[in-house]
Amino acid sequence: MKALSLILVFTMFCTYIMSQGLYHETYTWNKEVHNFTDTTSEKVILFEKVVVEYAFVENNFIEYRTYHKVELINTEEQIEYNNRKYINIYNTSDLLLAKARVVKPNGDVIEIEKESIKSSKDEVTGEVSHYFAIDGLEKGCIIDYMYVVQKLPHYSGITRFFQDAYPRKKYEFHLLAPNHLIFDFAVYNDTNHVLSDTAIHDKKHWKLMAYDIPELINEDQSPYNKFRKQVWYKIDQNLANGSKDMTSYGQASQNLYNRMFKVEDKKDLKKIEKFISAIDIKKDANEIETITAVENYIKTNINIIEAVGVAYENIQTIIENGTASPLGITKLFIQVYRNLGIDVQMVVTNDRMEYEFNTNFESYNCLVDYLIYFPKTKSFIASANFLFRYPLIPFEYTDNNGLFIKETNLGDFKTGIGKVKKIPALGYDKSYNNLNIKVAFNNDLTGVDLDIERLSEGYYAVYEQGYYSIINEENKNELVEESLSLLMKNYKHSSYEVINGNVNEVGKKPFIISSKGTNTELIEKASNKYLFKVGELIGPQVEMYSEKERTLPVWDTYKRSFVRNIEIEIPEGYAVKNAEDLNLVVEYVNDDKQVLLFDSKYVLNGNLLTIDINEFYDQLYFEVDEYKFYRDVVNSAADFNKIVLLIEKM
Amino acid sequence: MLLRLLLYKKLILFFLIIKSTWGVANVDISLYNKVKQAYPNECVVQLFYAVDYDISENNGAIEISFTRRERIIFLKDAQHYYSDKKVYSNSFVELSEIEAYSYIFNGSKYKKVKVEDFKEVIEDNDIVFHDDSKTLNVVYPGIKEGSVIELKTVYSITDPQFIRSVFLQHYLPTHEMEINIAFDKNIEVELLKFNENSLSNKFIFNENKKKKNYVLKSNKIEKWKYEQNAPDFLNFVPHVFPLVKNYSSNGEKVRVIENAADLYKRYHGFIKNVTNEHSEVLVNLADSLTQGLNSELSKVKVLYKWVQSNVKYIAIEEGLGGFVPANPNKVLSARYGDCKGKSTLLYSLLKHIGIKSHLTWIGTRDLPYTYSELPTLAADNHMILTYKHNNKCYFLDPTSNYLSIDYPTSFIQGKEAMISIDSVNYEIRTVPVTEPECNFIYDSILFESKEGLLTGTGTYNSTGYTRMRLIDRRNIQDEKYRHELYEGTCRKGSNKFVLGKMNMTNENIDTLIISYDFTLDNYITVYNDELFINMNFSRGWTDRKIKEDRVHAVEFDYNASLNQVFVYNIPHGYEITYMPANYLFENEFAKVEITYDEKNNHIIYKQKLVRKKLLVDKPNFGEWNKFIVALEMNYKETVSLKKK
Repeated sequence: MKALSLILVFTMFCTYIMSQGLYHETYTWNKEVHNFTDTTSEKVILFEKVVVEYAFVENNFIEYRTYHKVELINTEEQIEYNNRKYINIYNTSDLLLAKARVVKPNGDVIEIEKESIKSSKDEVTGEVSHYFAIDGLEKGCIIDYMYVVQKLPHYSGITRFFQDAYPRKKYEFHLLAPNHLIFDFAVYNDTNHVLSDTAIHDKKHWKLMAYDIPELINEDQSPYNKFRKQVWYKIDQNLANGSKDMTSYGQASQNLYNRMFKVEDKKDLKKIEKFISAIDIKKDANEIETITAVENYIKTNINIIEAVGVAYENIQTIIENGTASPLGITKLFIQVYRNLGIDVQMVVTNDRMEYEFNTNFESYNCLVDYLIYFPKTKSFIASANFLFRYPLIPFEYTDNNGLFIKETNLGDFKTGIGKVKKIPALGYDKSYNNLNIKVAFNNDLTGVDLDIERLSEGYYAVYEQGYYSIINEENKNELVEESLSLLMKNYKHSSYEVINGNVNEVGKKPFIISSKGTNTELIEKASNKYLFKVGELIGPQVEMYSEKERTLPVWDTYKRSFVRNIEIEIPEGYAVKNAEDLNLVVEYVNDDKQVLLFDSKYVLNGNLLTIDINEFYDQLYFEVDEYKFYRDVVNSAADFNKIVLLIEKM
Repeated sequence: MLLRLLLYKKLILFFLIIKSTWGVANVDISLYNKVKQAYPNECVVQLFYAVDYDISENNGAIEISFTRRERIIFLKDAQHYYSDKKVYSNSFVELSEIEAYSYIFNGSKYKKVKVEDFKEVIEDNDIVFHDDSKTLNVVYPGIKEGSVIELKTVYSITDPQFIRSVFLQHYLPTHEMEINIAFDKNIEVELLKFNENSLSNKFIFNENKKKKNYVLKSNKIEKWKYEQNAPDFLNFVPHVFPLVKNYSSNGEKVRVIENAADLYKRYHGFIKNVTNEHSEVLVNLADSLTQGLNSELSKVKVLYKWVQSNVKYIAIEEGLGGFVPANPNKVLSARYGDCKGKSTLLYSLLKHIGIKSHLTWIGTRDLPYTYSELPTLAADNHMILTYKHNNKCYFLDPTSNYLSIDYPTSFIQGKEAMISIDSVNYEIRTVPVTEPECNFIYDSILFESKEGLLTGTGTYNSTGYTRMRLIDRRNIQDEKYRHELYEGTCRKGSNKFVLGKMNMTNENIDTLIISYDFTLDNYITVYNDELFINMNFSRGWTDRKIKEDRVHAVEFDYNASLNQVFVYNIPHGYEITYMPANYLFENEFAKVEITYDEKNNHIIYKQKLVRKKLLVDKPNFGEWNKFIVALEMNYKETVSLKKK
């Protein structure tokens, strides 16, 4: 969201003079040290305080952040985790103060010398890292540290969590601002509110206080951040000029429209036209064909580099240098598609694994990643991602909301309007890893000959299919071997063929590996009887355990399916004894809809044993009480994986 | 006139330099076609790689300039993963010049673009917390299939000890390579060769009016292959190291470093100022921890263990701080230090109570050098402490955690140690390789089955590196992963194994013990009145089968042995109808012994596995695989039972 804050020039008049000093100028830790013992927790956060102050200082609008934390360290492991502290800021910020002290169990206090604070900078990201090692740390110590950062103000939506894996005794959040700036707040998962403190008259002061906050432990696949206690804040009004609703998706939509949709420069237009003329678009191409041709051309010819300067947002620079920033390439896509008469919307969203797109409290920290939406086909492209191709986009952006920005006419005037809408998850039938396997036993029943066809699409294909076309022969071979050995550890292939191994086919055609080979580890022997580990043909399957009570819901990554067809030729003169073990059905029906299924069925026809397995996951979010259904279906695949067929001479 | 002549000469020289600097084919479509044809299976090729060392003497001091020129062509869309390049330097090897170009290909022509974008970046480093190294990121614009990128870096090195090796083989196939090591005539330089191959022997020595040179020109050099579990690439990639031995200045010979003794002299300079003034805290600590202990060895053990667990490893290496140990009093009060700091603290604690120990330099196993082969700072990278007792050398590595005094750290096994004796004398000793029996796991279970479900109890014992690794992992994992770690450690059969109650004891003594109970579902096969059970519950070692086309040796962290005793309480009413035969296999690399017994209505299965060598090299892949095949064959054997 760096991009947005740059364009939001703050129109405020500095007619207010600070009569009282800034908060950080007088704030310091207590002289008397903390005295606290706790033997049950590995670490306890005794105190955490965050003070954000916006102020005009010598005609400049500045933000100060004061951060103070006191933590009790109780174990050797926690010493390892906590004996190094990092303060990461940006080169537009200054570290005004950083200090730390350690209070030993016997009361001795060691102050960290100022000289021991090291720093390093990253000119690409603009990050400056200050770090120091904490002296004298041992079990039972208290680390007390604080720092103050002066920075370019950042006020269009910030989230602060005040709950993690360790208990907190006391948490304080303060926001101070000149009297004419009104901030808005939202607190989630906690009953405390942000309250206005009127004790100070010459500035606004809001605060949130919370006590005895229990720890919240993360769980696999849980939307952890969604459930942590947190406070969000943003600027809302400027009483000095009457601006209201200053941080809103409507405002952001207009800004981004102006920046991304408009072509101001005639030279840009010429460049774009020339650029388009090099793209191979068939005369009678339909919209999808055009979208695809453009996407493949741009992604082949323009390198996306995350950390480059704003120069790489300029259309001419991008085309001349063949290099663009994520925002820059998104702009190029929009301009090219519009030029070709394709209706596009720009979508801005965020990684739902970090936090859900906030629809109630409009906040620019949800506007981080860019997609392009085609209303006609209701599909998206991930403009800044080389591997993902129409209509496949990274799952982090799906099953989440996004801000859809489109052009609209107000009389003769064109502008952008935004609407928050859902970015749907890809259907389970579009993301699959299917198997067709033919099995024949060798003569002495020591191994099997296998004919394997693995077809994948969606999230199961994108990486292999994408990389396959840009790696050398040796790596291609390794990629196929790796995929096959993930399926079956001891499979030895004699030949293989790859179909559709091209990044331009991602999202369009399945990636297919078909291979012939042998496996000698699937048959075990007990005297004259043979045990055929048929379950291992579908590859290792995850086993989810249940002994610990689940406390957080599951938010799965993507919908998916696995269709497997296995044909086994039973050797002449032998019979399968326990084929009925192969029949296995576990499902979860939610609201009359079958959303999860593992279904395995067999047919024995002469000496041909056919097994059909249909497994799918058509739901992503599971409340805690639904977890067991999810687990049961996942584990039934693991059950199948353990099935052994008993084969005996007739 | 003179001036013009000079200018003219300079110009010629300039052109000559240009020509010799980029003395490779023009970047044009014919080059692209030629390379594409020559390397049909590659997507990135190093067109040109050149290293020029210029070692000269100036007013009695050695000056070294090191120039590297690289040119890479992209034959596929691979640029998406190579479009930036990192350039490293530090206070001893300073970057004095950098120049880079993109040759952007449009399908028929190339456009040469100068790279202006060099930016310092932060590189994550898990080992060193802070040092003075710098990383520059070079971003090449506009590259795509066919494009060429070019980089020239010049470094100045003020001390011959910091010369870098020159590698004759790279991670990309190299089309043309030129190495030129030039030095003044009054300097003696020996070219040390490592992992020699036919290429290493192509160096030509020549001499002109001003300089002596070692020159190598070659082309079409294969890339080296990366393989998992292989020794570090330094162990197989051919490389040379120009050793500056001595030089004469004003008629006098100045010795730089010719042998290990010279290196020691220099090393001693780093430690000679280790303080003998011990702080009160240090003195009290040494006294209080060893109070009441009689034997010297027990005192060493106690102090070693204290430093291991109470002083954390944090490395801050700036300038000479990478070589000179920090003040031990300071290390003690800060409770952290690097290998030198921790070793010196232990040295001081021992010294205070009158026990002699020796600061010791050593290279980890990824460095393939002995001190006589490479008597320079590049030969090692670590410091430990040697303690001699009853003719035995104990190699104490205070950076290790939970490792008993009898074990060196696994990553220095078999390596030469340079042990400081006094200001002149030192001793070179080889650290022993730990025997398999010293790193053992003993795991026994007693279990029964009911309706297909196995339930049982077990005891897992572990010592040596296996024990250390388990405790180490336990400590870095979060609470919720710990159970999974124990479960993985005790796992039998499949991922249907569920660890129930468990209790870990003795973790601070040499053998750690985990007692546990478990259930295992879907493991046995029951059909009518028959029951099949494969007693080979853990088959982890079969993962180490070596592929026939593997190139490099397979390296293990340590030798190990595993003993398992699995006892099955035969269900009531069943009798054994088939029990596999006992089996024994042994060669110089490994051993497996499997036995089956029936006693008091129990099946007693025993497996003993031993891995005896740290390295299996290519000629022995077959021998090693014989062992794995033996395991695979035997693991297929299943016990069958039937209702009486």
